[in-house]
Amino acid sequence: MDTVFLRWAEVSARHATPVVLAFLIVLFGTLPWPLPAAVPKPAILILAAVYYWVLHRPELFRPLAVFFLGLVQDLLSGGALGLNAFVLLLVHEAVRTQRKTLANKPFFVLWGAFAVIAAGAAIVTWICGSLYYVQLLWPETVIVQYLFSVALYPAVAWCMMRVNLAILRPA
Amino acid sequence: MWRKAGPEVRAAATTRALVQRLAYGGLVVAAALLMLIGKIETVLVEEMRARVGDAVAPLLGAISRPIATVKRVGEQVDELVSLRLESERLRDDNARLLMWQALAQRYEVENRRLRDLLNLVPDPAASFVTAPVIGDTGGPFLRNLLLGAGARDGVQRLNVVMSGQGVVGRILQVGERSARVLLLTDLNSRIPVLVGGGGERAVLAGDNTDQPQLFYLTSEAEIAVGDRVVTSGLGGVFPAYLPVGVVTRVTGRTARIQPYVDGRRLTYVRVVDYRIVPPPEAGPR
Repeated sequence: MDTVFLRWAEVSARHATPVVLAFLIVLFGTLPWPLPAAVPKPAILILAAVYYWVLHRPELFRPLAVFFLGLVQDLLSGGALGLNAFVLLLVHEAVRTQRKTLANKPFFVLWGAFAVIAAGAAIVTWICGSLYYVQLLWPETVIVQYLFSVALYPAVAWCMMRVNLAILRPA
Repeated sequence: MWRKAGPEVRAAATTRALVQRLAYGGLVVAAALLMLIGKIETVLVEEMRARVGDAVAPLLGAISRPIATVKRVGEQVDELVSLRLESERLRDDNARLLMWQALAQRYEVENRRLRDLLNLVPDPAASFVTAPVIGDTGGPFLRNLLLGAGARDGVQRLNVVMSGQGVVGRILQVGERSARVLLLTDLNSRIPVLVGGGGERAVLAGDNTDQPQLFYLTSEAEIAVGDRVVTSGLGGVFPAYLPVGVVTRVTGRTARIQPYVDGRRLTYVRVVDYRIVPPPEAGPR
């Protein structure tokens, strides 16, 4: 009984890792890091994390988790409630539908696909933001965020890959 | 041995896929609805935000402490490197400030005399709370800070947030032990200000860039790069003459300013209650 329970707890903990990690990115991303004003907040890395996990382990990264991650980010940021949840859900769907096309492709292709999906996310964010605030917003910050998240994708993907190998597929 | 899936299995798989699609659609609709609700029911959403802020405040407060230490160490290293230059600059500053001090003392006396002559009601004394910055929140469209002090520490909505050099912003929302600051640079920030020695009236409007814009300058307004911008005290949120920033660019009847304070480099701020009586709400009689 005990071993069954322990086994169950261990598997659950392993399976919850991607979502917990993404949650930590959102939480730590809102800390007052001593970054120059031009650098966006680290919370933007959540996009790369969602892309990575939905691409590689969609069964561990369900839309409900994505929704809640977006919602937590919205509540913490003080921005339009639901905006991040909405955008991340669209990203989830975009990645899910392209999984088969992207399967077994070299890293550069995956990176390129991320650049395309992140561009879509940036455009949707900008449109929704402009509608929400009822004015044409400066797209500058969205573009900077986009460039940073694309540039940092390899680093995020590498970290997530280590986690994927170490925690989710034990020897 | 595996066999081809029977009709029941296929039907179950189809049903499952359908349920998942429906659930996904429901979540997208929920997110869109939340945006609408957030736009209409601002009070409810603000209450929710304050709760979430309170919930994460102890955790963020604890983790942001080492970051604050790292920031301080970085600043100290910078100071050490530029010690010689800094001391020279300070000597110059000191000489200049002594001159200003003499002038200020003269003005103070003169001011008191004039106030007596006019029977002016003195401004109520201000009180303040020093609060740690525990979160540099905000997305692409907003500039916010999360403070580790709230209602139980005496922070109130619309309190003015200052740092050593000038205005940081104002308190937008207060939780029990956390509060959210709307920075000068935020899209929703509008502050009535005075520009330059002539005291030209204008409104300082944030647009999420680092340099907010000055609006409603009169056509004959004479402002130039380098002019000081201070609060005007109109609107009943900020008292008059708090330093805000310096004009950096003038284009026609708008200008951009560089705030004295970079909201993203703060570790502690002062939340000041100037005990301003807000003006009566204008509305239909």
